[in-house]
Amino acid sequence: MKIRCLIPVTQEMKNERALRRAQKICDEIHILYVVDETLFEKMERESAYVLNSDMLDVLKKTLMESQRKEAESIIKEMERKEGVVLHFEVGDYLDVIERYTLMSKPFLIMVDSFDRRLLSLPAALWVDGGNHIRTCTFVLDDAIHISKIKNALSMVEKINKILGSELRIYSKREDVFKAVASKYRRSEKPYADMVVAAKSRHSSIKGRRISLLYLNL
Amino acid sequence: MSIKEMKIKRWLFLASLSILLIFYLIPTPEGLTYDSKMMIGIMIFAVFLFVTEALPLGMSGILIMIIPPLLGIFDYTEVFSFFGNEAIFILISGFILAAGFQKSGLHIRLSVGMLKRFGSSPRVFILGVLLLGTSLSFLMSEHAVVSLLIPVVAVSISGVFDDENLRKSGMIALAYGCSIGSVGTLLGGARNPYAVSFIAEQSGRQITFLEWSIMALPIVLIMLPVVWVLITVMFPTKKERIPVKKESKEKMSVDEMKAGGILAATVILLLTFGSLGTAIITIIGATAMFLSGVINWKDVEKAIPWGVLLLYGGAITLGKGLLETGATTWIADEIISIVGSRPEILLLAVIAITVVFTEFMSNTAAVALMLPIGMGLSATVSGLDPIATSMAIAIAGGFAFTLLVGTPGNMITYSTGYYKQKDLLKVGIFANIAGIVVIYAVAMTVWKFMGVW
Repeated sequence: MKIRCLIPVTQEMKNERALRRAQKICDEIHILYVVDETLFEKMERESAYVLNSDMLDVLKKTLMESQRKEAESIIKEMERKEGVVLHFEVGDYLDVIERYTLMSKPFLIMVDSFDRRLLSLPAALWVDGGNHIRTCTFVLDDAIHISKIKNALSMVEKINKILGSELRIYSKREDVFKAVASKYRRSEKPYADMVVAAKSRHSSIKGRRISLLYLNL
Repeated sequence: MSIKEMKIKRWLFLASLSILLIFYLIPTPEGLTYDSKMMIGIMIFAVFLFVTEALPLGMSGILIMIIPPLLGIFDYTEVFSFFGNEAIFILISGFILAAGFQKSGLHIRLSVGMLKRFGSSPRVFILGVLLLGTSLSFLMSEHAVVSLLIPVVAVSISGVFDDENLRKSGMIALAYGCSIGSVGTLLGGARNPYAVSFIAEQSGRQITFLEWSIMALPIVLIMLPVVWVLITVMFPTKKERIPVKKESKEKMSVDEMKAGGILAATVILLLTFGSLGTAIITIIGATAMFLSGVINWKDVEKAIPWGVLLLYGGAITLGKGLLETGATTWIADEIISIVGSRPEILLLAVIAITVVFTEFMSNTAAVALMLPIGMGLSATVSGLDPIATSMAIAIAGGFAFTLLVGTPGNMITYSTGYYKQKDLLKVGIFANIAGIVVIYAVAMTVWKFMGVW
């Protein structure tokens, strides 16, 4: 199973940690550079009283070109080149990500900081803490579908293999643990260098400088 | 603009009108008359409009012009005569000269040539960008310089894809260089001619192009290395060298020669025969641009940003209204009751307040608001020279280094995508502090030594 990820990047949010991690764990990396559609409007509003319309038109083209070059510099700076695709879009941040998620159907959306709005998208959300991942705890929810867990677990297992980390399971229910994850070590606490949990549990899974993976379970 | 934004703007405009209504309804405080109370109301109304930009700045300018006649403070014929001001004609002819310079393409030749001279060391390249922005902003509006130089600087640094800090510092240096340069001469920042005409009207002293430059250049010359060090320390570059593009060996065109010659002659005339009047000399220079065939009227129509000129109408009305109604004396008394009456402290306070104001509104608007207050303070406190205070305000008004909304140059360079808002904030706060200290230090030492006060 291939791991395809989507990494949204903006001028303000470069998601550098996610980009570094993705190069190690993902087979296919889609970098989505989003230019805020209101940026040029703001620029025009601030400058229209001092610049004439011709100058503004030329300026907008030049600025768009700069933004494109800035987006291209992300790929140029990456060590890995194969399997990396750059998409350049102007629009509303969330709308563009949603469109690309539906289009390229990534397994993961990878970012550096948690953004609640991304939870509603049909892909797992990886929030990278930039930390070294030695242990990973998969938090099994009480009301979880066993079939869904099995699918997710195989993907998480693959990621752990690549990272060289130890996968542990945290579950309050003995029957669930035995049914799907008995071959793994059981964790006493829902905490590790990386925590994997259902999106519905995002508010209860927190930790500083750790990586988080929220799944659609 | 979206419907939601449009609605917000309408509400903000209504809120600004409510400021006037509140001032109309509240009893007149002791020490104020109805006219001076309402002028303070108009000043706060103007601050609100300038900060929120509920209306385009030019429109705010002419709206501010018509409110005093509506409230019976000025006769309406008097208000419209405020446009008959030398500053307006310095600006118009300055824009025409800049249009010729721009159309000839001379700015590109100068920029590319100058950046090449600064070689391939990243730190020296940043100094080159700063100097380039500064020197061109001596001759034309700093905002126009930023927009004209963006492609030149972007081409030089876009090739350095593996050094984010170099891209950041290059763009920030461009914005800062233009801001610093804009205070250097009367052809730079549009607020400079306004300050000169304001000083002439209120104190009777006509500051020439040369006098302005002599007073402002020490500040420019100190700020440049300070800002250079700040930028290069905050954004250390990991590159040893940057690729330098080969300079084209194209010969200088006839238009480039004509535009360069006219501009040089105008500056020489301004420096040597400044007493003829800055507006008169710049109009002669602008006429020469037409006669030489470098530009035609269509170019001029495109080149003049009317918003700036209209904003001046409001600025002049505000200044005159506050001074003539005695509102500035009342504001000055209030400031003195807080800060004290030591002229040195008051000067520092006025510079600092102007720098804070200019971060939240247009440079011109900040200067327009602060000049009458500074003049009021000078009239109240002995030892606080009106010319030094006004010059310090005009120069401080150009130092918007921290926020994107401070000056269009910041917003334009940010829109390249090369740096984040927090980068500008990080270096801008220190640059602002440095700006306040340098203006104050030069005013207290160099200007005193020069006999300005």
